[in-house]
Amino acid sequence: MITGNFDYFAPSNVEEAIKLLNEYGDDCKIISGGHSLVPVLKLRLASPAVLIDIGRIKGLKGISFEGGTIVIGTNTTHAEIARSAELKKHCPLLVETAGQIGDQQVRNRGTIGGSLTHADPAADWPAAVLALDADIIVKGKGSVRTIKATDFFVDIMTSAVKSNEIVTEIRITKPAQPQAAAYLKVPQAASGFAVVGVAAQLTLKDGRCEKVAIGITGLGPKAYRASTSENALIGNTLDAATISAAAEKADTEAVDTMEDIHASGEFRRNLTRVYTKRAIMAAMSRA
Amino acid sequence: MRISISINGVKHDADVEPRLLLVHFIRDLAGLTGTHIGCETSICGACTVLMDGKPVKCCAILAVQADGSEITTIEGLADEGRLHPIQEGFWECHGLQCGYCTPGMIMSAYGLLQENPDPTEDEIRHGLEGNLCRCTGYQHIVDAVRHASRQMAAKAVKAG
Amino acid sequence: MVEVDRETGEVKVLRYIAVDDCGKQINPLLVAGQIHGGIAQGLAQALYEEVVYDENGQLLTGELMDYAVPKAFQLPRYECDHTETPTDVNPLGAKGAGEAGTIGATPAVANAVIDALSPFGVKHIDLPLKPEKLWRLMNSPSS
Repeated sequence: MITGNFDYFAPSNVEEAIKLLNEYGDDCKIISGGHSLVPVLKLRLASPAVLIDIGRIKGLKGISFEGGTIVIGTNTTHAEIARSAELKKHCPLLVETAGQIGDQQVRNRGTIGGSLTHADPAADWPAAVLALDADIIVKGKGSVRTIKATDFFVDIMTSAVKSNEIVTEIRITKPAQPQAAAYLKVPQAASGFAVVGVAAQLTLKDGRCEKVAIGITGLGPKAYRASTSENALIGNTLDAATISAAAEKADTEAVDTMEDIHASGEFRRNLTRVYTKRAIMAAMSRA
Repeated sequence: MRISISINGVKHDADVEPRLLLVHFIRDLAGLTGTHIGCETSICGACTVLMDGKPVKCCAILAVQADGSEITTIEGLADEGRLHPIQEGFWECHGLQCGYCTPGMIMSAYGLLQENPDPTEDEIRHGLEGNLCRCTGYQHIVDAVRHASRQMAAKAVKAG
Repeated sequence: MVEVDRETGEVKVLRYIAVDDCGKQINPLLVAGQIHGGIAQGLAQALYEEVVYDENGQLLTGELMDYAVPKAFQLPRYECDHTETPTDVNPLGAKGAGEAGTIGATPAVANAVIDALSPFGVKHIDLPLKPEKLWRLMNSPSS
């Protein structure tokens, strides 16, 4: 299979990339790793006239710490995150999520910024960035804005990033210790994408749940925070009955559900409730 | 576009269309047909090669994206005519039948053993999740990777 | 031997044991390979693989993104043994073993799942045994 024809640019800095984006508008697409986009181009589901490869821009890759903030460059691969000893210590949820994306080849090419911008409703990252209450930094022509994870996912394959903007980094406040976190997913048997994925990030104090955030991917057209479940957990001692009761409400926020040959909406709701329970249990067992 | 890609230590310069896939660069321009094309949608892993030392699926990478990089294909694994321990493992343990997935499977196993030199059976099975095999039922492939892991450890001890 | 998740219908194959007889084995390693490959195909037919069309006859499983050819971690380690009943129609006493594991694998896995679901009154399930189907059977009013 061959893609349609396109012009290719590999700018060396963000400003140049944004200039190109403004020049070509809706005719262009950004490419980073390409393991999602290239198959789409080959199937001719998209035929952009221009591809802008941001993979060669220096400074968009890597994991760093600014005081209490974790900063991940948009071009950081899933594999780099999965391997990071620093993140394993300070934010194990990122490491656990990264390790469950695709397969090793995909993790070596795919990037966190690319995946987030793609906004696939079955992707894994959305659940984790929601559970970590991440800020996503987006640059446009002469502008920089911060999008909260909760505002980032708009609809199927649609994020809040405008067509002339680029995600440059993901910023996460280092979770307070002792933390308890887990990402569990039900992989679609063929593609490995999440039929449902649940990320749970908790802070426990004196046996009680001081802070909790639960991100859910796969169920709806966009990933969301399971706020009703969170409210049922916060301030409480997390025994099995409390966790089960809270998890029963994990699909409350999903008005519409995804539905395909792999799972109906009703079954996805069930998986969401069951895996929310299991994710919280798993997180607790690691606390 | 003028690009330069090093494949198995040999530099290949060519003028290419931006839409040329890396796998076609390797097979058609460099003439190295050991790398196979399977599903075309980055699932099956038949096209797996090492790009700057890490396994990737080169049917989902544009050749222009690989400009300046170092690629290792299955043809580059043997050392002066001597099979790499992973290749030897596939031979010894009957890790292939039709052979179509084998080059990709071996390059993935290479990546897996680089990250984890002594993997458990479960880790091998998960490590190879990006490569499909229709013939073997995977058991002999798992055995082949274990064989390679032992051989490589023994070699490292000897060398060390 | 299989395990079915009561809450989600997900199936885990815990053990798979196959005993075959192809007469005199010329190369036992090749015979094992054929049996393994056959089991994988048969097992996958029972659990994963399905050709789906929509109401207009459009194939929905035309790519490996949707048609589930099993991966290594979705299959168990097979425990194989054999008996040896040589044939007298050739001097070697050997019989064909090509993909010999296939035939038994599909019904063996399907029957193991049906057996696991017998407390719910389940006696028959159409293949493949996908999680949602099993979940519905375990939660249907009649069970």
